[in-house]
Amino acid sequence: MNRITLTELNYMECARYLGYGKNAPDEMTERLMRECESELLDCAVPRFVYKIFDIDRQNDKIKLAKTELCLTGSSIKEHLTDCDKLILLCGTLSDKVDRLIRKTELSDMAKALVMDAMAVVAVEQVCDKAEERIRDEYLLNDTHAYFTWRFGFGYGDLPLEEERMALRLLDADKRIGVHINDSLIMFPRKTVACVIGISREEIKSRKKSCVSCNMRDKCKFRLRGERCGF
Amino acid sequence: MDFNTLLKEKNYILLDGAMGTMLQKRGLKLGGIPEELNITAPDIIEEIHRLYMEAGSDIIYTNTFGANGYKLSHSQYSVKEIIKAGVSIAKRVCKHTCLAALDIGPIGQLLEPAGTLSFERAYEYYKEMLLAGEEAGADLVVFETQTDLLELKAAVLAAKENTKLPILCTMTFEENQRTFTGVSVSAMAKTLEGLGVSAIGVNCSLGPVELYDVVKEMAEWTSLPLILKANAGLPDPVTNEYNISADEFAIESAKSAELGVKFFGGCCGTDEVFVKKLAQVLNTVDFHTEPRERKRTVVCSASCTVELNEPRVIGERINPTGKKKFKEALLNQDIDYILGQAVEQIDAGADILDVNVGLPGIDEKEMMVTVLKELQGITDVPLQIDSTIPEVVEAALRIYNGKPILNSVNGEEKSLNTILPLAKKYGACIIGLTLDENGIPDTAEGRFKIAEKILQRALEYGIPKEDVIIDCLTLTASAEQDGVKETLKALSRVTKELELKTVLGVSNISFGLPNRELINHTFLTMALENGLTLPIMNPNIASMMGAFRAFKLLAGYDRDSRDFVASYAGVVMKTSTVSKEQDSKKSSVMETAGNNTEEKLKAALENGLKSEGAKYTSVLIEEEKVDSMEIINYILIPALDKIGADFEKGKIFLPQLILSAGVATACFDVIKDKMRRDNSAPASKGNIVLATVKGDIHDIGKNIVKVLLENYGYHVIDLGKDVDYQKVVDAAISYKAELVGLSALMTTTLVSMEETIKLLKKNHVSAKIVVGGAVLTPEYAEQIGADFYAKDARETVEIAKKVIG
Repeated sequence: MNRITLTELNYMECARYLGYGKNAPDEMTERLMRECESELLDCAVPRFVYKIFDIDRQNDKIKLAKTELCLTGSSIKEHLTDCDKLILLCGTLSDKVDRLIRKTELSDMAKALVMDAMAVVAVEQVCDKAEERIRDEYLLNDTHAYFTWRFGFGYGDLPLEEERMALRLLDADKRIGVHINDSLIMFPRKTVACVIGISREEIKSRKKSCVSCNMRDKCKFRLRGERCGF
Repeated sequence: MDFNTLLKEKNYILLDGAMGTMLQKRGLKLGGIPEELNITAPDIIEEIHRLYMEAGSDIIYTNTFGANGYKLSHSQYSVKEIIKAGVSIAKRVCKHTCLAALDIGPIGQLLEPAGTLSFERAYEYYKEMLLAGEEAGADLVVFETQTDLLELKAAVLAAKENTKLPILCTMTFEENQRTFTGVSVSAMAKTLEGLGVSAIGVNCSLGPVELYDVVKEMAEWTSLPLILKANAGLPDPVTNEYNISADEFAIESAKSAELGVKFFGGCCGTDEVFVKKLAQVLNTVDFHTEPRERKRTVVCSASCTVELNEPRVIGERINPTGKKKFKEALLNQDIDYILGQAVEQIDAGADILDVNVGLPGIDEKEMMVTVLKELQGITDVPLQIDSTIPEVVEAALRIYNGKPILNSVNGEEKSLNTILPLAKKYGACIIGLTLDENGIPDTAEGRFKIAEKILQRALEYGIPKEDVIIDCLTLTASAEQDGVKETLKALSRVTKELELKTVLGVSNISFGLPNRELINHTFLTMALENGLTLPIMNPNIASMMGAFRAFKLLAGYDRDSRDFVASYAGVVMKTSTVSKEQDSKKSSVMETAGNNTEEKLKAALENGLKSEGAKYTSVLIEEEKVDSMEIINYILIPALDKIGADFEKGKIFLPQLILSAGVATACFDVIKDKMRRDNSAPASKGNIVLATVKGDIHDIGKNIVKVLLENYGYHVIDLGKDVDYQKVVDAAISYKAELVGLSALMTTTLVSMEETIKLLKKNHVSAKIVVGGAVLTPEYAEQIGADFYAKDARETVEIAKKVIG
């Protein structure tokens, strides 16, 4: 189990989640962001856990060697082209943040909304930092490795159902206190689980795009002509 | 040999080492269900048990850690089959040399209200395992690697109510001495000791070096024997190898013997060599035999422990007596209002909150459980369960996460015989009221006698003395002036002669007098000086908290005046930075709005200035005598419409829309208060039921919808999140709802939305149905039978207007 300390949160990202697009947030909202940032940084106990697996390709499937997990779907297959290993990563802000958001809702709904968005920003930043740390450590022993971007469960046609087994492989409940319920909701709520490929070859720019996203028909960012930035 | 003999006769008890580590060494694939090996490869399990037995283990843990109904839902074997097989293998190895502990880990889901697993369901999962384990011949049960105290409580109750197995409990702590869900060591110790388990301790997560401090802290809070089952140090994230040797592990673990640890074993990364070494080192340790005594009066939630070794404030506001608004909230199931009362009191400085939800016309038991669950979801402050109805009390004690205060028992036989056993069973502190069949004695002597009797009876039931708190009862000074002295005298005698903690409702003293505040805080100071531990009072009144804090400073509890300075110097500091900015904005907005109150109110709405909104609404009503409905229809609604239109055009954004809605809520509160005073019921346009569907807990969107709908004068019945299908139907029918709003955020929970709609239709509910949530589309909404799809909160308002008007 690893701990991460966040020192500041990205306001522009937060504004984007709140629907501001490229507009700068208004003064009141920015003030809320500042308050939420400070409360979140106080309250969150960011943790992450990861494991590296060899990829065992079986016909159409991506199997994690020596495990019972197969990643299915064409988008993860494409994402992991040329990769011979992958990293399972799970990062979380801890359930104190869930309580903080709920508590804020009782006194100030607008602030709660900003808090919620800010927490999403925070958990992504936890993963950014975790990813950086994992890469640096890995490169100490293997200088010719290249990494893909983080591919989340449920993204593209990678089934959300496979997240359950991924969390089990990570011992996520024992190691960082992350659970998943029958509806495949992770607890604490502000938690991300994802896959990063490791390749011997330089990764051709396989950009994150809407093409492979299963939300593209319903995406509110796209409706406004924007991108979510994932 | 049975467990109790073992406990009595041995200096230390040797547990086993890891199961998972041993299985992985034998080639177990990750991600499978290791408990299935009890049936598919019993020889491997037997070999592991045998190695531990030969290494000297007195107790071995069966391979049943995750054999619960939830984790085995996809297994081809039943819980009973796997547990029976697991216990049989262990028993086969044990014969007469060691004991087999039924090993049970967490269910693997988070409990409500943070998660979706109900306490009752968790209880059932544990009960199933326990019954199978006892039937198969397990000698005891051990609940280990637990991180949620409430889940562990469900497990312990399931064991106590369904089996005779001795119970060991270990939780998993991080270096900050908290579990992942924030449980503190002291809360664990006091809660489990209260529930009557045999031993408690720690396992997993860290090595013996890091866990020494955790065990040390635990020893400060409990007289129970302790358990240490550490990992072999810390794991390497890449290789998963642990970092300390068997020798080091044994030496470091054995150091905890001096703290009162009696059970030693190993968790992840340990094997039979570790256990053998542990035995060797422990055999050289000198165990002291006299039992540790730790008697401290403590109440706690899972994450906050309040020791009653100095005066503490119990907030009295969660109580409908004499409060119109609170009564309305109870009748309307407006839980948020009640939670708001909690937050307010905590912010004002309450250490403990009294919870009383008794009101004719509501199901007190159901309401108590709902309110407690929700309170536990937002606050850490320990709670006091206030009811005299045994069924309500027991339901509350079951689901309380921690060690509560039970308010109350009194000197009557009937009360003593029904309430004390409950306090004992659930390990609650108990308040004894000094009255009996003959009423409240006039004299201090009479009340002291009853206090003595209550203490005596509590001790007979096995309730420890330190858990008994006495209420010497406040009478009204205007009616019984001399009674004040008697109360104080009784208070002083109970404190000095019985050496018990005391509690007193303070505010009654001034009933019928002018300037009640003055009387109240003067009496508070007098009572504190006479030994009062727990004033029950309204912490929102500044003079009361002021007197309380001043007393603590002057009596020497508040060392270096730290709390006092923080409370009062802080007020000045707070206003300096943030609000200066706000103030400048406020004044500039208000100046440009001109002198017209109506314009000022509109400006406050558009700029999200809550207190200004409330202020100018009040001015309109009280000074300019504008009719309430006129304010709503000609000022508030048009302003909200304009803000809504700006939002749709992309001129303003969601946070601004919600900020304005928040201002409008504050304005409506002023109007409603006025109507209440005039005894004219606030007009409602119609009833709307809202729910986040079964299985889903993403409810912030729904909560935003609620705020906006209420702004427009609709009466919203908010059923919360993860709502059963039937509950939506029942609410729609009983409240004669004209619109039902359902939300879901996950593709996996859309099914629940569809099922809810089906059930509504099956029951011929006439209400229209509106659905929303990120994964929904208009097409899908139509497909599952909804009448409307709302793309955002604002659109829901338009739909409500269309449906209800």
